[in-house]
Amino acid sequence: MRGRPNEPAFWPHGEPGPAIEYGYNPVVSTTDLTGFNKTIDDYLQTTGKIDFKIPGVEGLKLTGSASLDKSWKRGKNWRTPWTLYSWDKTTLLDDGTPSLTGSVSSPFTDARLSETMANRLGVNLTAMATYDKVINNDHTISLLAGLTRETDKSSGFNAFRRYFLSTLIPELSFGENKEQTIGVNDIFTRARLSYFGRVNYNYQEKYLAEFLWRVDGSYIFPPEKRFGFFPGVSVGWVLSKEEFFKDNVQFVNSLKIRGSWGQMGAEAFANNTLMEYQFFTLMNTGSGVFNDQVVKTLWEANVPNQNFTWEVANNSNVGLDATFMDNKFSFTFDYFYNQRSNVLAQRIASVPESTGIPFVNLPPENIGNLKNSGYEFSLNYQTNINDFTFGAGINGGYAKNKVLFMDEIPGAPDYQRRTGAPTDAWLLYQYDGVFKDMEAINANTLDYSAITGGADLRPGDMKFVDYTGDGIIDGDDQVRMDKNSIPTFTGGLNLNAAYKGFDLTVLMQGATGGLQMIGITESGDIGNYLDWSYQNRWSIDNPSDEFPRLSNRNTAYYQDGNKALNNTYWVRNNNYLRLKNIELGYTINPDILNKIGVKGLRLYMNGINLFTIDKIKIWDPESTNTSGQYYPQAKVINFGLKATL
Amino acid sequence: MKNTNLSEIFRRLKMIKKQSSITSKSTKYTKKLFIMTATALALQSCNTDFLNVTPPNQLSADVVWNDALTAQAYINDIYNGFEQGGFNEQMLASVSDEAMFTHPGRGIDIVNSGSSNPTTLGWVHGTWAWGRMYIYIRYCNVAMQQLNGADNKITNQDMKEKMLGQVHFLRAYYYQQLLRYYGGVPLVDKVYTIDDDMDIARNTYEECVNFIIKDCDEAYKYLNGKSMDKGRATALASLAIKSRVLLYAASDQHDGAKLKGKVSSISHDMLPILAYTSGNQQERYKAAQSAAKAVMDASSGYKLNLTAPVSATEGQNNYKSIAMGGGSKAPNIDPAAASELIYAKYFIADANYTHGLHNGPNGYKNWAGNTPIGLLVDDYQMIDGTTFSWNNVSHKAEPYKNRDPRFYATILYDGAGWKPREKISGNIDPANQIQTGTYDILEGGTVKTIPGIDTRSGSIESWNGSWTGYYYHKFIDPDPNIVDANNFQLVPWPFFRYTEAVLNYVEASIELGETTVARDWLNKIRFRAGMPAITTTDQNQLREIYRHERRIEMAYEEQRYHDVRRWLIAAETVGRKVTYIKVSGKFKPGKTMSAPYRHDNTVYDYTYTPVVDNSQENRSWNNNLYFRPFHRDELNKNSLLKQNPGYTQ
Repeated sequence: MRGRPNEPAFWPHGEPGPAIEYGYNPVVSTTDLTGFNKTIDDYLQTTGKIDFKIPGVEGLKLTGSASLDKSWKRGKNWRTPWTLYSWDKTTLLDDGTPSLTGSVSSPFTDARLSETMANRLGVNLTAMATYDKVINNDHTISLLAGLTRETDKSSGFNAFRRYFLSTLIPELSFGENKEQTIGVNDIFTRARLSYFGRVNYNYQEKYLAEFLWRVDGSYIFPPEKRFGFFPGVSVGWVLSKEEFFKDNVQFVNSLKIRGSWGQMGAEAFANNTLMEYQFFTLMNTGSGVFNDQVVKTLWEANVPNQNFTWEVANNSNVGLDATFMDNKFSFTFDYFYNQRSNVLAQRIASVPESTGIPFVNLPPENIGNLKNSGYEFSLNYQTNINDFTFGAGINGGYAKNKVLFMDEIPGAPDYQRRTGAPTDAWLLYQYDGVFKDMEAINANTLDYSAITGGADLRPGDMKFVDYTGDGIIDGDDQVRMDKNSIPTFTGGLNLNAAYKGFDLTVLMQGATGGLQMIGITESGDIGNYLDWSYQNRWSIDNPSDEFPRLSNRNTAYYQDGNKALNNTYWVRNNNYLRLKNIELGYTINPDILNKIGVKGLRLYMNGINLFTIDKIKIWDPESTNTSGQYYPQAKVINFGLKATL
Repeated sequence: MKNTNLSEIFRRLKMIKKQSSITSKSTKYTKKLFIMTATALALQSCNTDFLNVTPPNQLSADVVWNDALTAQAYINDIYNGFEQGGFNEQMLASVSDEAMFTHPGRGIDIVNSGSSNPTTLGWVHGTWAWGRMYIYIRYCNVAMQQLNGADNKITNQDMKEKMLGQVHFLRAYYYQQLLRYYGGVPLVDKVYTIDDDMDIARNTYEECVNFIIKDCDEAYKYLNGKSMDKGRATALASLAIKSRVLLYAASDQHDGAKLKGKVSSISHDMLPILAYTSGNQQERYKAAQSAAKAVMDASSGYKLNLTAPVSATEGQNNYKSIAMGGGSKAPNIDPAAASELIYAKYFIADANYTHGLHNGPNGYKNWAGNTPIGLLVDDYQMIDGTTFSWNNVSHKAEPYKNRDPRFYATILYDGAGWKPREKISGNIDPANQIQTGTYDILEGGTVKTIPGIDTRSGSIESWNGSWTGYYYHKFIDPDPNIVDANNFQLVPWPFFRYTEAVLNYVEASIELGETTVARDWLNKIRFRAGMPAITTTDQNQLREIYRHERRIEMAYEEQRYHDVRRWLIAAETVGRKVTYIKVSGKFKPGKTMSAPYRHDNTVYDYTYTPVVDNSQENRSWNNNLYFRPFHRDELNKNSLLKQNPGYTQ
């Protein structure tokens, strides 16, 4: 959705102004004048459960549960043509306003309706046996074993019609069958079976140990590779219950150290979508035209893999929990080291195109290995002195992942390899300032022709580092960064205080260690420039060796996705510190209120996102979109009153 | 989101009920009931058959070849490699001296400036892209294996032969695409599984030609005498592809010595991959000549039996009718011209294409797209067969008068009549003429200069205006009822039309010294267009005349890009700088006009100024571009793949 800054949104008499293309004028396309797009999902979720305590065996319980999840989905997309108005910039009406020409500006001239419906049923049956026993008041044993059987089926259809008799009734019956389409959607069948168990033991709640296991089976995997066994153990030691500790370390009220290791299985995904039925060779349907008729076609949906199984997450963790100084302080700390092995991925990077296997048709293979490690902590303090209560807490977490092995383009140079870098780390040309003037260009000895598309260098063009040192700036000078868009450290700080009727809470949050690409917007003839880019640009009057020249529609090589847009100039760290929430309240003494029949009354004011310190400056550092098309975080100030009657 | 309230209530109700009935009465009966239930669940849990899910919406490949209908559906899809034919938004014409693409960011400037390289390939299109072609070649290989194998259960021999014929044709076509863009390529005739060794070397040019010719011959063998649905491969289409491949094979670009003479950097090892290093070029022309003749003998084309030129009007209609290929209902368009089409991509209302939107004038809310450049416009002869020249004073005064009728069926120029403008842009141009100049206009007693509606300063979507001052309309349906911004057209894309075979025959004949027959066939093409006869039979003269004729007749048909390479004349043709036209209309003494403007020679003195303009594209030829580069990733993935000359391995 774009609009030109020098075109009016509305003309003086209220007619909508022109669009850039497809008739997309925001003042019209955001309204119901263009139709609507509605989706309604109805869910009915029911769970039934039977607990059966076995008579005669103390502590043994059998549980059976069944849940049925039923959902109905209905979508309706109604598109009606709309009219925009343009002016020849010459002719005026008698009242001095422009003489306008209106025309249907939508990319279609008759209304269209598409509808989708889908129907889904998920069934989950679980049976479980548990046995709890305490021996001599010291040994607590808890056993569990069970199984879960899960099926999930969905089917649906869609229909499309145009040439509506009237646009007043958005129902298919008013469209013509000419050029109608009917198809299926949301169609899948899924089935999973899991067996699981747990043995839990503790001695006087001082020594804790647990062993867990699962056997998971999924329809995702070929029959011989279908089941995976995933065990886990954890142990804990509550030091503060030991006599030697109690006697010697009195300022600590409780202290527990713990450790765990466990495995979990994961199914295959591509672009957040389950990769189903990949051990079959399957055909999708498509269409073609012969003899002036649409005919069905069949095309290879995938290349099968008979040999893949569960991806495994190996998670280990050590941590401690403590409270001290009369429980005024509490502290937890965890260090984790997670390694994903047998990662299911497609071999996109190394299968040559001459095989004729399109990337999307490659099956999942167990070919990756990633690690993710870091720590998390929180420290809280809470106290009250007479009428004054005060609390403070900080928390934070650091995590960094690293690709230990993944499918790579075989000959890629080391500094471009994904292995060793975080997942989804950028591959970027290295920004090296800007050619300030002709003098700088004349002094340049590097060959930029591989990325400029034949245009001569001009003042204001961006300079790049010749990483390979061969005198030529080309694709080999892109470098894999050691960061991705996810911050490695996120943390928060909260404060609360209360005195008599007054209360105050403050929440701050921040993050560091990530990068975000910014500033790439449709601009020039077909949209506006970012104010920041405009203010900070090379120009004849304001030559810069830091900020590049702006180009119409991102044609300059350092703004063109076909050329060298992927460079470090457009990428900034998305570190920030933000006052997320601050709230001050006053609760009026209930004694006074009771007389007027009110139980409670609190007045408050709060502010959300009042200030942010960041490096991106142009827009929200939490935005994940390169062109800022992201719902912005609002700065909000509320005044409120809350009464309890 | 879970509907917790409801499920919680439900759960509690059940619990109350069950617990009251089970736990309160611990009778033998309830115990029995429980044991039965538990046993049932336990048994159920051991049964894992339900995990064998059958994919609900996809057909298993095994059964495709059990039935002729499903097998045919598989073959139907292989045609999708043709995509929309040449009707992509970016046309191959814009990577030649026919046109310039209007919008930035499509990588076309990278190719035209000669800076295409393995990391920045520039514009590549799906109808010939490396990976795309091999996908469809793979499908062909699957189909051939299955149809020739013993496992298929297709008993209808006639249908099986039709399928085999189509598959051989399709594989020939897709390899032909690869061969003419990249030179010799790996000839894959197996179906890769993920466990295979995927490294494969390029075959020699000669091996590729032979492989394609063999597929054409097989296709002909299977399809000859069979009636095929419109849009499917035919025996004639197989002959046509064979004609094209053999003419290309005979051309200078694929003669080892001549190619090496032009591009001296080609290594000894690389040369056979790009060209013949043995044999005789004359023999190859002979093969090309007879392959072209075979097409000509098997069909008759459209109005190619004339002995004298038709009128200019008829010539224009003939040419536009051929371009419409039977897909237009406009007046003066002859649907019978569809007989020119030997192999085409057809469109119907359900699966159509917005070619008019992509290429029409911005003043009709279209996007200009592939605009003709001055270099093409200037190459259209005068109607009397003489050459147009800006140095000729009367030509310069009225450059769009008395030109080859094909000019009027191809180019929209300043003052040319076009579709009713009010159907899309309001009543701002009652004369319905293209406006690409600047004009005097009288407003409130003073003379102002205004930009034309179809310029980049016009009042309607100016950012979509032509830079060159021209628009193209050869394949745009002139039917006034089709508003290009909103409606689709049904004009087919001609992959191969009869005239190409004739031109192929003419070219081979000229090179073989058979100039009389070549001249006579050239004249038949010219007569149909309303152009006078050529008289010379001098080989060198005729070669130049022929090359010019092919450029004009086949404009915008994905020929020129290849022709200038085949003839090794790219530097002096597509390497030239782009030229625009500047048009200005000034009032004649004593004459004026108020808005709305219309083209009128009695009111205006028009001046036409051709200019070289490098601001959008700075074109420059680089000998590397005789063959397109492979992407560095593909080279890295396939260690046996050798890069084309001039590019980094």
